[in-house]
Amino acid sequence: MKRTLYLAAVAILLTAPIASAQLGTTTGNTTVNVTVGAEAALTVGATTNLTSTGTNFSSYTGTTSLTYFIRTTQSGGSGFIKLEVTTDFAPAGGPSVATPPTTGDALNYSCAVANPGNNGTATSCTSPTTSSTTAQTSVATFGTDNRSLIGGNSASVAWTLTNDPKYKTGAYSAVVTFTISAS
Amino acid sequence: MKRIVVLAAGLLLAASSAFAQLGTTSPTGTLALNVGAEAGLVVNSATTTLTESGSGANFQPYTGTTSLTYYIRTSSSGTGTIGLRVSTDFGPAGGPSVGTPPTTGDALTYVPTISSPGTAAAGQTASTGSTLTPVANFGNNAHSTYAGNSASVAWSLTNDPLYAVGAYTATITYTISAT
Repeated sequence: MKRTLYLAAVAILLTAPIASAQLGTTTGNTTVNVTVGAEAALTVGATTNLTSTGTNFSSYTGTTSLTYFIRTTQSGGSGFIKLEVTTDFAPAGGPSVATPPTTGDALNYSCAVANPGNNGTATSCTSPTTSSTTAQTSVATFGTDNRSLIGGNSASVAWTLTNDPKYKTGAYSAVVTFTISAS
Repeated sequence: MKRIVVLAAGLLLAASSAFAQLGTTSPTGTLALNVGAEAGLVVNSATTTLTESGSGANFQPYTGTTSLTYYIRTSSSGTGTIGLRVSTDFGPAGGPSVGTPPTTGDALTYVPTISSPGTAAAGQTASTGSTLTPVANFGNNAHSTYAGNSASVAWSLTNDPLYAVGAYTATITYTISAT
């Protein structure tokens, strides 16, 4: 009988570590995976006021500041910033991008784009570029493996709008939409 | 002949006495058991995939959650902890790094949650050092269920434009202890 009791005690002692193993160990690992993709974003100053200074009928000018963020693919990647006048000047009687009141009236711009802070080179637009209401026009292009700073990099668009005496006096506004893309 | 009879009686008495020394028909025994402080855990998420959070805005942090099951028993004057460390930093090079963030402020942070009897630590920044950063603490006399209790770690990784496009992997080691 004592032998039976001893065997039972031994069996319990052997069972205890097995149960413990089933309930986990004191350390465990997990692998954290992240896939970093091509990506881009930008911020734009909300309103840009165009003003005319100097001699009369000198062009209206103003500058829109941008901050861009970009990461392009290491092999074969590219990116761009473009803009389009998505809402033409209003109200009627003033400047118009789509239907200039006088041939030659235009909303032109030049670009200044800092290189991506962490790698790569930005190529600014041809100056001047004439904006359009029907197509995107270039602000900058980026090549392979371009990477901006985490705080972004700067760019600006300097506008020049014909000051046509034909424009009626008044306040006019248009909406310009900027698009950034990366692949 | 009388001597023989006396000897036989003596043998019979001796036999009875010997039987009594071999046990009874209903003996009792004692089982001794020391239950000690103990802890274990299972990382339910062998792999935790971090994906960009939010919608619309780009360069949002990469986020994901690791699920744990813990088992614990602390003594009447004991405590317990769960901690973690980044035992293998992100690789390959060119992407995020916990040990040497490519940009100041880049970080792998986490917010733990845990069911009772655990108390979750405050949000932390993960580290590659040998020191564990806290996930949860336990007080004295803390007992999980036999099936274990749940905990989780919600990760957030800076999405720095500096990271080169690609896939990166790190290993996190969790440690649980009890006294």
